[in-house]
Amino acid sequence: MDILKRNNVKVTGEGDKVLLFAHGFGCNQNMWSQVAPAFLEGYRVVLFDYVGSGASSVMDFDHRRYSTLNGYARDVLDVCEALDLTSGVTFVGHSVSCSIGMLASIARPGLFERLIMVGPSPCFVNHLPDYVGGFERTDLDGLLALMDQNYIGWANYLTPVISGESNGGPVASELADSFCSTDPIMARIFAEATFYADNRADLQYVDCPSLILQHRHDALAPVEVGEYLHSHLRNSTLQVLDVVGHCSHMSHPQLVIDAMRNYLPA
Amino acid sequence: MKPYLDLLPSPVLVTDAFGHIKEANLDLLALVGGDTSSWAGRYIDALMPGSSRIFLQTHVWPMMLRHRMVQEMYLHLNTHTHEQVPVMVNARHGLWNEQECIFWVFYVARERSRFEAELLEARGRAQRLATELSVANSELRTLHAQLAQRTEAVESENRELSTLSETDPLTRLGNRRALERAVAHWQSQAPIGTPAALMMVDVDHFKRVNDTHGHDEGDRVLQQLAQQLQASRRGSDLVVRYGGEEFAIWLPGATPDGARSVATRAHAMVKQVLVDNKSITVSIGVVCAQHTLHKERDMVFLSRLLHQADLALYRAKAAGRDRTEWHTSSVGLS
Repeated sequence: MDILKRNNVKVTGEGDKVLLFAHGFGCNQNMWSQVAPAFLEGYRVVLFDYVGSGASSVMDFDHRRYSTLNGYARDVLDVCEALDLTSGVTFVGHSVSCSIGMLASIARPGLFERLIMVGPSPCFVNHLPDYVGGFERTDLDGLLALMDQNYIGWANYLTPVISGESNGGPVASELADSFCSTDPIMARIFAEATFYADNRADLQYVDCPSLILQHRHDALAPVEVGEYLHSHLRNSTLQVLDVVGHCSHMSHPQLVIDAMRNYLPA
Repeated sequence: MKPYLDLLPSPVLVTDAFGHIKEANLDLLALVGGDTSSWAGRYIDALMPGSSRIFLQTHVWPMMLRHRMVQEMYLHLNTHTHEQVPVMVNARHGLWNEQECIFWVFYVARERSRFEAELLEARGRAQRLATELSVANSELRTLHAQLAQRTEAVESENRELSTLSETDPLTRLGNRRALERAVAHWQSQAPIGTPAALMMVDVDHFKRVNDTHGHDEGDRVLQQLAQQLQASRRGSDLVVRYGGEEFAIWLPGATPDGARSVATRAHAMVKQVLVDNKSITVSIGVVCAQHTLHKERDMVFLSRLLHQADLALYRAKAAGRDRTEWHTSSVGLS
C-alpha cells in the first residue's frame, strides 16, 4: 500500500530535523498553511491527512480501525515508517491530534523527540469532580445529530442507499467548502473517536518532553484542561497563548510560530 | 446603526473578529432573551448548547478563519424559554463602527429542521434496512453453501454405497443392478436408431470344476474369467456377473459385426483360463437391439433382451457349448 498517497503526505523544507504536523477533527492539513511554511528553512516539514479526512484515500477507510484514536495513531506511525523516520521527529498536533500523537509516542518510543500540542484535551467529557473536560455526553450525542444535518448537503441525501457490504465506503460529496468537508459517515466515526475518547490514563506513559500551547479562552479545551495535562505529563511545558478560540495556528499563527521557535532547540 | 439592525426581519448578531458580542438586534433578543447590555462582551458560544459549541469550534471557526465567511451552517441557539431552536447561519467579516467585526444572520428553521431530520431518519432507516438485508442475504448464501456441501457429502456417500451395492465382491465386476443402471442410462441418452447388443456368457461345465476341485478353485476360475472377459470387451462395454457362473456383457452402440468380434475375442480369451491344464470354455447367447422412438419402460426392455439372450444361450449349450448363438430378429420396439 502506498502510505504517502493514502494519507496525502506532503514533504517540504530542508534540514536534519523533522516537523510532523497533524490536523485535528473537522479539517485537514491545510489548517497548518500559515504555520508550517515558517519552518521550511532548517526543517523537513511533513504534512498529511488522516484517512477519512482531506484528500486521503477514502477507499482505505476501515470502520473498525478508525473508530478509536489508536487507528489514527497508526496512521501517524505509518507515515513515519513510509518516510523512514525512526527518531528525532517533532510532532506538532492540534486538538485531538495531540492525544493521537501521545498514543503514537507511547507505541513507538524514541520516534518523537518532543510533542508540541496546540489546544490539547485528553478527554472532552466532564468527569466531576476530578476532571472538567467542558462537555457532557449528551452534548456529544447532539453533535452527531448536528453533523448529520450539516453534512447532508442535499446532494448526499439523494445518493442511493448503499448496499450493506460497502457501508462506510466513499460517498460522493459535493459540499460547498472543501476545507472542512469530508464524507459524512467517516466524519461521524472520527467525531465519535475524538469526543468519546478518554486518554487521561495514557498520560503517565508519555516519556518525551512536550509543549502545551493552551488558549486563554478556548470553548473546546478550557485552561483547566491544559493545567491538568501539564500536571500529568512528565517534562511538559505549559504556555498560555492570549487567544480566544480553539485554532490559534489559524487565528494567531505568529504567536504559535514564536512559541514553537522558542521551544525548539536552536 | 443599531436601529437599522432592528429593522431587519431576522435575528442578527455583531461580534468582534473573535466572537465577542457587540450588538444583538431585537429579533435575536426576542429569541434568546435579555438585552444588548446583558450580552455585550460575552462570547458567542454563550448563546448555544454544547453540541453547537463543539461544531462552532471544529468547523465554523476554521472556515471563518480561512474564508472570512460561512454559509448555511446549521446550529442550535438556546432560547430564553430554555429550548433549543434550530437555526441556519450565514456569517461574514465586515466593518462596524470602523472596527473589524463579524455579522451573523440567523434563520430560524424549526419546521424545515424537523422535516430534514425526518428525511434523514428515513434515509437512515432505509440504509439500515439495506444493511440488514445484505447481512441476511450473506447469511442465506452461507447456509446455502453449507447445504450444498452437505448434499455433496451425502451424494458422495450414496455413490460409494451404490458402487458397493452394484459390485460383485468376488470378481469386482458390476452386478445385475449395474447392468440395469447402464441400460436405463443408455435408453435415456442414446439417439434414436443407435444399435446395442446384450450377451449372456455361461461357463461350460462349471459344476464339474466345483465338484472336482472345490469352491476355492471355482472362485479362482470365476475371477480369472472375469479378467479375460474384461480384456475382451470394447471400451464402452460393461461386463457384469449376472449370477453364479453366468456373466452378461452390455455393448451400447455395437452393431452385429461389432458384437460378433467381441464374442470371438471372448471365446479366445477365456481359453487362457486353465483347470487341470485344460482350457475353460464358455457358451454365449447374443441379442442385438436398436433404440427406437417408442419408449419402452426400462425394465421391460432389459428383461426382454435378457430373455432373448438366454434363449440364444440355451441354443448354444444345446448345440455343444463353446460357441455363440444369435437371437434371430433384432430387438427394438415394434
